[in-house]
Amino acid sequence: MRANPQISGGSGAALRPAHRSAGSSRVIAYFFLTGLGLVLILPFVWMLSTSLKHPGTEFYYPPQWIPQPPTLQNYLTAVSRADFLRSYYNSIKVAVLTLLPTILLTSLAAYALVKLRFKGRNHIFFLIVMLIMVPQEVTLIPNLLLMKGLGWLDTHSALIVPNIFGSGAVFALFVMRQNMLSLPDSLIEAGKIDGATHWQIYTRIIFPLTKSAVATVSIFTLMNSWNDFIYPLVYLNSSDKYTLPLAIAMFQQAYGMTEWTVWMAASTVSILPLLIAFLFAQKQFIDSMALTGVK
Amino acid sequence: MTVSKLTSVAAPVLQRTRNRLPGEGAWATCFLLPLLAGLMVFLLLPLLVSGYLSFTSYNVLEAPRWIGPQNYRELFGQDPMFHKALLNTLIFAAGLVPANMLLALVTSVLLNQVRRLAAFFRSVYFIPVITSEVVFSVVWLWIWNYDYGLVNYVLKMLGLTGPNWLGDSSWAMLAVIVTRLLKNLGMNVVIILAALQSIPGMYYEAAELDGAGWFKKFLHVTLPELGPVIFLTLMVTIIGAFKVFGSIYVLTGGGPAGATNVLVMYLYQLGFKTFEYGKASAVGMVIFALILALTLVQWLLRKKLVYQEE
Repeated sequence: MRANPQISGGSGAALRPAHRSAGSSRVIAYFFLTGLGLVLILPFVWMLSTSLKHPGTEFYYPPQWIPQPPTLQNYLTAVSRADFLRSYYNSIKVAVLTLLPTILLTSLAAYALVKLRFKGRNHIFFLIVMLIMVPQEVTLIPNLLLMKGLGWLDTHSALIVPNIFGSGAVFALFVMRQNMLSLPDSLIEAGKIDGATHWQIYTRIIFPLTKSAVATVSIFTLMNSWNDFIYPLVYLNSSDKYTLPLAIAMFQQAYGMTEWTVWMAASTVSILPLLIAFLFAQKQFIDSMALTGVK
Repeated sequence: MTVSKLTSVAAPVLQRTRNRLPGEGAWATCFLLPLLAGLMVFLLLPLLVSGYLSFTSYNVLEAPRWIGPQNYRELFGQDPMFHKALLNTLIFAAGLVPANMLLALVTSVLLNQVRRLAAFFRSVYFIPVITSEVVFSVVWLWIWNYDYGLVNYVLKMLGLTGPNWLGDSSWAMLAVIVTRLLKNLGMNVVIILAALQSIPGMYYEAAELDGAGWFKKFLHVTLPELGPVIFLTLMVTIIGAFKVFGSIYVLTGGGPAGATNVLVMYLYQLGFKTFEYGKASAVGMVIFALILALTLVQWLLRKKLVYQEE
């Protein structure tokens, strides 16, 4: 009777065999999904709401969701503090300087691993993939000694360089490699016939074709370096070198619990760039996150 | 060269050699070396050095002195703080991982049932994932607050008196687990949902023809099809649980009275508060050993359980 759902159902939802069951279960589903969504989004709503409250009104009880009246003063206070803008600049600097080499190095390496023939190719790939098991937290102290030796302590190099070559790079290489495996070898043959070197084939033919991998790696790398906490905490001393998560974690110690409204304004501003990047690229990003899981 | 005489084993080898143009090895070296060298220097070498340091007595003032397995003996034999950190890490993982997996599974199955707003919900669930652990936890500092926090406000409306969540050693771990759960749940939802959507609809049709209800369909079609993805998300979630630091640093600092002190927190305290680099390295190696052991177990189980039907 129901073997052909294309005919049996009138509405769009009825076309999907798994979901033909009753509407009541769908009501329960929406109820659950909305509830979970509210719980997950609540902290952000409160963060935004508090950032718009007058200092001293943030702990009114019962909690006030809508500031009366709202004020932008907290944002002005946060932004007027030299340290905060400085940490914003530091985060952008660290993120960009981590991102560009990560893209270049991992995509070059992926090209070699996928499109070039040489001895031990698979062994090298296997070795690199094994490195994903090494957590950054475990290499904290040896890297500290290395940074000390290089004279990089309390500099941004100590955040950038180990991040470029951290387990994030292994993940990035993996994504790039998957993408390049799908490109036909004939592209390279064509390049060779035209007398191009591998560098030219890579820069002119292959790299431009790996946009989706580059996008995925970019957002993932940005997310990691923008939110990195333990490395800045350990390697940085001077507050003018702080990145955003460190600045926000240290805010309480610097200004005390009395400035919740400013603290929330700073937190709100700190998540904006990634939030905007995510909202623009969410389809691409979520799809590729999902793909790495399925494959 | 007489190709016809070649055995089936030799042919592919020759094929490969013939296809290799002069200079490909050199190009490969140029392209691979920068990344490979960096990974060796900043990832592999530090791991080896960490292994070495774990057998030394080393602080900032003196050079490392070889003491054999004494750090490990001290940690496992007579260090109550380490025992607590190890136990707390296991409790944290044991609380977080099943909750995360179960909630993610239920959520993604329900999300797969609805058509309207599915993409919207998925994005909402993912927003905490892209937020920094620090910022997310800072906001939850308020939510858990004893006097004016949201959780106790809701409990009060229900006629209950909530505990001092983050300040009470019997409740702090629960609060930390819930916070971290909500922070990263969306990642597993997105990955499991993608796997659900790739299950061919005809499997369900066939099950329906056999008269299977939703539960039987879930048990006999959905779960087996999700096998590999459940294993992957499980591993990532477990490893993440072993490495937890940022949430705990912000929410409790490891307190009260060490109730939420976990291994990475203890490593941080040993390395950067009391400067016992040798012992801290030993804690690091314990974390690495845990992750390594679990990865191996996963690898073996995966072969046995997940692919048995193929």
